[in-house]
Amino acid sequence: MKIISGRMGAAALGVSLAFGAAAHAADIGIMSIQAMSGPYAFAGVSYANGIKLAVEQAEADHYLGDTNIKLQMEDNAGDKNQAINLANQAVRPDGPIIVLGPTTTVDTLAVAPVFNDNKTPLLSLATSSLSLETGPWIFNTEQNAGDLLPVLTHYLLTKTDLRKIAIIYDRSSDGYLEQRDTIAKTVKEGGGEIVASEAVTGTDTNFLPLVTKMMGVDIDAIYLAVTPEQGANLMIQFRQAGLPDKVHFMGGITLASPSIMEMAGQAAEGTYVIADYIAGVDRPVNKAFEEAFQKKFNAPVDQFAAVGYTMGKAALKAIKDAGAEPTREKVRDALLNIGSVPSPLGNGSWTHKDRHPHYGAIVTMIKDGKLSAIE
Amino acid sequence: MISFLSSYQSLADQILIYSVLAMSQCLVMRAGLFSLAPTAFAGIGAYTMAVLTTAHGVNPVLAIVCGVMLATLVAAAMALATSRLRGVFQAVATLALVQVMVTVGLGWESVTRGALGINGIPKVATTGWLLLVVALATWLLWTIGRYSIGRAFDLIREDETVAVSLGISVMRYHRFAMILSGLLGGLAGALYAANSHAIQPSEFGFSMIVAGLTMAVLGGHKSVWGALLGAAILISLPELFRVFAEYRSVFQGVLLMLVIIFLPNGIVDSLLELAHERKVRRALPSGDGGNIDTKARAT
Amino acid sequence: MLLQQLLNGVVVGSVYAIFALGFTLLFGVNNILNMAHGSVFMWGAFAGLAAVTYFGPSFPLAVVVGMLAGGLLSVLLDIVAFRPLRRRKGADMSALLSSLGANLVLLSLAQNLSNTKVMRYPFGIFPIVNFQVFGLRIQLLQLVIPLICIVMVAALVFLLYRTGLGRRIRSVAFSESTSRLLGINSEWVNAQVFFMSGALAGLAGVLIGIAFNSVHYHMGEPFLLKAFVVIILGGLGSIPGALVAGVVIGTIETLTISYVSSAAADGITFAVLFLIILIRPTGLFGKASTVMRVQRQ
Repeated sequence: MKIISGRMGAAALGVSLAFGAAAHAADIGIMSIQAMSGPYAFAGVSYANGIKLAVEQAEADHYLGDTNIKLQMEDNAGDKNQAINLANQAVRPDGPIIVLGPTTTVDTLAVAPVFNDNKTPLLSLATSSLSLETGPWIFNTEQNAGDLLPVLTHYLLTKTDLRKIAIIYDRSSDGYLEQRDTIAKTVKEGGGEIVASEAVTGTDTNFLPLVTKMMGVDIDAIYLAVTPEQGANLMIQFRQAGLPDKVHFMGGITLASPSIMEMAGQAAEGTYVIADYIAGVDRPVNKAFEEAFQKKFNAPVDQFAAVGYTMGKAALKAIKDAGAEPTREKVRDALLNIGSVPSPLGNGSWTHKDRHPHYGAIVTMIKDGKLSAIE
Repeated sequence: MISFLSSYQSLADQILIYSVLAMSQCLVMRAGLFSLAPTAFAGIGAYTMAVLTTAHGVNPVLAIVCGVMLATLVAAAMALATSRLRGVFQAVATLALVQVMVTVGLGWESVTRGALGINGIPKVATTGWLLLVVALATWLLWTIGRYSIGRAFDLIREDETVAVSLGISVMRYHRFAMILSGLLGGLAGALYAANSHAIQPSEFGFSMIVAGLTMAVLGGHKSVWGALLGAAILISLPELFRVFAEYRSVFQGVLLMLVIIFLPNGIVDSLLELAHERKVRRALPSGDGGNIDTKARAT
Repeated sequence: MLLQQLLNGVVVGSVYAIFALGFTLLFGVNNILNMAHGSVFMWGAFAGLAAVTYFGPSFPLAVVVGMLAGGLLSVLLDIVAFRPLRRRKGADMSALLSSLGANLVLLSLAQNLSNTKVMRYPFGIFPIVNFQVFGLRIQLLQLVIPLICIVMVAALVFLLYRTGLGRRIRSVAFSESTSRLLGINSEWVNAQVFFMSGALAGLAGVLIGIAFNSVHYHMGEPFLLKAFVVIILGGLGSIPGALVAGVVIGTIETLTISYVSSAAADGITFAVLFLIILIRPTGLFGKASTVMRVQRQ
């Protein structure tokens, strides 16, 4: 497998594919567009590593037979315009057969029209179903709030006595807004009550006014639909302001990052997190993935790596199912009918219905600085 | 081969669009007006166009025109409000305008969809049209610059006291410069929206101010070609420097500082000055040595 | 709750004031808007963090290192970005642009160094002690910050009006060429002013980093933007003005967030700026002599 990075790589790939088309007919191109630098690198780099592992394993096992897999890793630095430029490069006829990414929902929504108009399959990392509305060439890898959160609220409303819920959300991304709306809906339907709903922006750090304001309200639990750093910051500032221990925090997959516990320390104890991946699950595919990842990257696995790995495997399976002479159209059709991909996520099997992914979720709580599954 | 070139089309589009913003910035700098408002005007133009086409189904071209008009109106209001101010205060007032616009964009969620921005804007500003618009704008600026307005701007910038003593109303010319920069800025913004499918409020803030100023400084603000060159350099830099990946911005910043310190008039202006000097020197009979100040310029 | 929010406003306002003090000092003496001030603030926070990471959590250490780093960086900034421009006509605009370039450099160096991660000061950097007074819950840090601010303002005023150095600074502020004629080494004075400005920024950075649990390469930008409002409201070049305006702005912002919405806070702050420029551009404490430089007829 050749990993080509950057602009030089794109030019080289283009030229070599153009001139060497006859000799290398058995080459398949996969491109990954991730935020490997910039504010979302905490996710982007992990996603990329997961993808790299999946492709490397496929090459080692000769999963696609004699075919050479050219994996092209691109960095859009979390910048929408750069993502669009990269997308325009990718959809050229001699470009990759499938593209994975970009890292954020915002970037995905910006590039989705490009891929759809140019009939190139995109396996995205959007956490909102808005991306799917662009057209039939766009697929989501991650479940969105509508799939994950009902599991959490169901647990809360049936197994605990937490009823009065407050929501704090980051208003700069559809993903967080969707979390807010889903939590509000499922809590109300399940007999709970939303007592407060406050917006923050991704770069805020001064939460004194917000914290003081919410301390005046009777709350059982606070749902945080924000980035991990902000989540940790909010937890600390709340506890410092005197929020009692009996008030729990809750969050979705963005709060399932290992860095949360490191950053928030004691303040994070007792937080409920609905995760689509948790390390240490006793399942063969999980154990194999964690071992291989640790060996290759010498870094702890997180859910982003698990998602990236699943994404890579799904793409490879679609390419394989597309037959001996895969085209973008055949790969897309294969992806549509992909069935089940064994994955370390959720219940172990990644599937989708109408491009809408499903793989279950795990309710966890932060205890002694670690995420442990409760159900 | 053609497809290889067309992938760099989006780059060319961005250069053309940003050059209009640069023209707006160059114009105010040429007049000695310390305005950072082109970014605000761009935001107004972009959002007007985007909201009209996505939420109200207005014809995209008409929406662009509306965007330009609204930006020009706001510029006129700004012109009246700030024409009495000087230097620092102009800068701060226009900076405040930009920030207010960003906040409106973020807060007026019912219209602008807040921080999410607006998606799915029809892409009508394709390369061909952009070239046409940029050519027209360049021609417009060139015409203005050649005649009395351009000369007045230059004089006001160089020495305000002399300009006043010649009976030039500084306030009037500054107002004109502000309004015209509003037109160009709004145009740049509307084209930006019409070319990039999606916009967000944060794009029309501090970073765009820096981009506009950088382009104007790099290219130079006296000649019309300065804006184009400045835009070309600024947009191509991340692509050229991709090899250095993480240190792109460092190079951009260093470049800006070097140009300000050593080539304060910008690249195009400095080159033109050099060419002029050579012309003057050649026209002089040999042996005049250092008696004549070859740096004297007609304007 | 109103009282608690007012306290919040005073705390954050004090930091705005400290930051603006350095900013307004540079403007008063050199007539330049240093757009890289926010990056100096951020690097001060970074330096303090590095110091306590190596030597253990100690608040005084963080503060001292942060101030030193900010001061030295600011002097370096002067040498590289401002000094070459000083003799030139139209230096104001060029200086602003040059500082923008410097800002970009400082920002991206920090971005690369920190890998864009959001870092925090280690637990235990400042004792968590709470007081219950008049139904208010006050953290020790929330008392210390305004105190530090007042001390800084007092020290600065003392320095400017009661010491030889202060006289020299005021002389250079009035007219650099005249000062040189009088035998004052204006470059050395400038260096010292830049050092003080940077030290104040660095101090603000460390305080914010600790108070809000966040040290991030982008932390300076919102402060820089608010600093504009503060120095205009307070009066360009005015020290007491920076203090009063800082606290006022901090309070307005906090009250807006709690009673209106967080989205409105920035907008209201800048609308205030607009009004001030239109109605009374010299600000609260601006001197009449500034009027001549502000308006034209």
